[in-house]
Amino acid sequence: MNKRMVLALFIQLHLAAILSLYATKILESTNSGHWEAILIACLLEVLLAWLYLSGLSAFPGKHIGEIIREAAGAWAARAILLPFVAYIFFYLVLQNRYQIVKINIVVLPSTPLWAVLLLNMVLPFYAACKGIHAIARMGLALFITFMPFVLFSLFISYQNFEWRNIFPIWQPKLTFVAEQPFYTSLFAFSGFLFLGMLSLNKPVKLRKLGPSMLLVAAFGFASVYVPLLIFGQETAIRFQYPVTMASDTIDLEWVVFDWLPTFSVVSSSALGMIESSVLLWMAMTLVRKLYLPLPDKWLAAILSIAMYICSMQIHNVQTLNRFFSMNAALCLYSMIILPLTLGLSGWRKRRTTS
Amino acid sequence: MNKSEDRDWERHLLDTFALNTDFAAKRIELSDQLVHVYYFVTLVDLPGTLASMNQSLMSANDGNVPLQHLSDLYQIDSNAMPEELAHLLLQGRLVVRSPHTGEPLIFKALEPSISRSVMPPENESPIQGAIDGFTEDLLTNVGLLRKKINHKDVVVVTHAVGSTFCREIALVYLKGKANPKIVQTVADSLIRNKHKDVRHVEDMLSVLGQPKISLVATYLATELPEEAAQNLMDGRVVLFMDQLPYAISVPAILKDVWTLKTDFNYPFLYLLFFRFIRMIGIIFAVIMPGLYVVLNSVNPELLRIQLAISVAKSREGVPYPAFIEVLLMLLVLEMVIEATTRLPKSIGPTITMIGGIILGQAIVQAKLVSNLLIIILAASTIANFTMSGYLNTIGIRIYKYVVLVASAAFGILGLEMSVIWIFVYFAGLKSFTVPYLSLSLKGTKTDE
Repeated sequence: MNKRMVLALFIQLHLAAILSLYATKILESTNSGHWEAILIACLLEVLLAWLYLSGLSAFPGKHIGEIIREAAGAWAARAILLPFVAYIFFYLVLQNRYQIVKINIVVLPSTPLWAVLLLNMVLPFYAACKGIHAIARMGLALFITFMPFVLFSLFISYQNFEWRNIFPIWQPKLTFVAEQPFYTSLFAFSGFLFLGMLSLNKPVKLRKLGPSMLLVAAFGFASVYVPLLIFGQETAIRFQYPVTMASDTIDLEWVVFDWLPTFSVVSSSALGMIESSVLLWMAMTLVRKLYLPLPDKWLAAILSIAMYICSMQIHNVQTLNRFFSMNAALCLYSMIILPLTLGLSGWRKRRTTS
Repeated sequence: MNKSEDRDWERHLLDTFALNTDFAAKRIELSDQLVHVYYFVTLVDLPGTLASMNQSLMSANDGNVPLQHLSDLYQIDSNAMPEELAHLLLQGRLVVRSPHTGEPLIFKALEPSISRSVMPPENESPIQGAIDGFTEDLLTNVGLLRKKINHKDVVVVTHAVGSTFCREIALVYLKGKANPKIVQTVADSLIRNKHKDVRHVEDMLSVLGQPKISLVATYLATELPEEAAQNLMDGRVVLFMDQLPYAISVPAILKDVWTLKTDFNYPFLYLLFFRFIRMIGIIFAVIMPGLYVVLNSVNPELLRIQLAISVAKSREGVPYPAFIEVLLMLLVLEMVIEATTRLPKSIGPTITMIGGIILGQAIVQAKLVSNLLIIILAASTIANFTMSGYLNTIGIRIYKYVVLVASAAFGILGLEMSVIWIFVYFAGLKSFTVPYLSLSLKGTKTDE
């Protein structure tokens, strides 16, 4: 797997998260100075990614499970990584549910949810069985084919921007830090964790990730500010899908298509597909290496079916939101404890070898 | 040594070919010695061979033993087992019993003229390029290729495979350009599967360890020495099978779907234009029928209202759902393609006329399918054949139906997912250690 593929996957994983629930959560967490919340999350990711990567670089060719097992023993590794696996799995469930509801509302109002979910289950299963290298190649291919749609759907509504909606621009008290939605929104920046699963012989350097992180941050800003500039805080906060709604505010003569939110849904579901494939592959690999040594295909099948059943159990948007908030605890654990553990093991290994 | 006593190998040959009237065992005078020869009259031109042998003996200096001199010129270095002798005879060799040791000597012989000469290719039409095509004869083909690529690093290795059905396969690569891993894989599998019979290209692919069912061809077949030479330059391994007028280059990658090697005979801008057209063609061919169903029956709200109405109007009076309509017409179209492919050239145009004009016009007037569909299908079929390489078009022709079914079931989402699915499929496909989804064979550079 080469650098370009890793970077493309890195960007796509973030983008998939950003285009889903991120904007809603940021809009909920504060009513002014949204950029501060986004910026803080970005800086937090840079810091944690630095720790994480510095730990990884001490163990070339190994993935996170092996590293922790080497540093702390097999049972400790299982205990430390259990919340991470749970996080990945529930994230998969919730993202898929979120996706299919959006698809159902925008493009397929008469198709039953279970059928759409079936599609969302089968493709990631197929991709996860092929392995991360295949997923990375596919990611690059989709990056080239679907990125224009992402950009198109995100920025097409620029003519409706009301620049005065940007005010108040300054929020001196950082009140969002005390708000629960802010912590839920952090899941969008947990994408760096997949780097630990790749077992790269030459671990990625933070410097190399820089441009991609800037791009991700730019998309983070765009996904919040596009609906904010069009609708203003008071209206935008009422939407379940602010980014998709934003692309519905314009009418372009030169496009043959009339129903422009379709582009938004098409692009975000393609990204969602990559995200699901990667998440499923991560969960599958971790479970196989640490808990249950079954063949990949079996594990992937079990996990996808479990995902399908769990997703079907969520009956409405309120429950979905509640689960997202609950999953935030697991997310924070994975985002903070894992980089710390890795950073520490890396530091210890460097000290003992030198 | 008793001359009338048959050796083991002689008896074996006589037994094996006893029923053949064109198998000959004769005693002839060769360089003033009586020798036994074995050959097929249909494959060996004996008088011609003897004449040329005598001519070369005349020009030889007198110091040499005559038979030795002939051996130097004509003998193929081979310590053949009796079974192999049979194969060599079938390849048109002359087997001579050595008057001194009684062992078989295998001589090259002139063929009666049953091979065609080098001609322009039948199934590919090069524009602005060399127009000689490969023939059935293996050595001629290798020679044609060598002429096109005057390079000292070209390596030609010939393998004979098959136990009951012997076939010669030549493996050609460019040392230094070809990925050693690919060369090794191909050579290893040829040696490992030496005993397997190779009758068709499919047999050869199984010898090479390729998957039996694959949507896209993992090899490129060409009739043009120029294409094959360029394939060598790109680092591919070229395989020739005796009696197959195609060069088979492995591995194939995604880029081959829209590139032709003879493109390089044009100015760069034209090359870009051709490739762009082909890429658009691929996209059209894959998604058009599916998109028609999406816009007609699942997500008509995607279209602008004026357009949606005109689309709906064109389908007025058509008695079945859009999916069935498309499927029926696609099948008719496939049959037209299949029927015209191998028909004699004098009947082909008639079928085209019946299929295109009469059927197309009548079916619309009878309100069985809409005009728009005819336009879309014609466009997607034409687009299908813009792709480079006949083999590649077939995979896309098949995949179109997957897109169609997915679109009918899930609308625009199904269309998108089927496109993603084909990417996942390509991403997981590897031929000879090279991922199909790469843009170049050199190094590890892997792209779309």
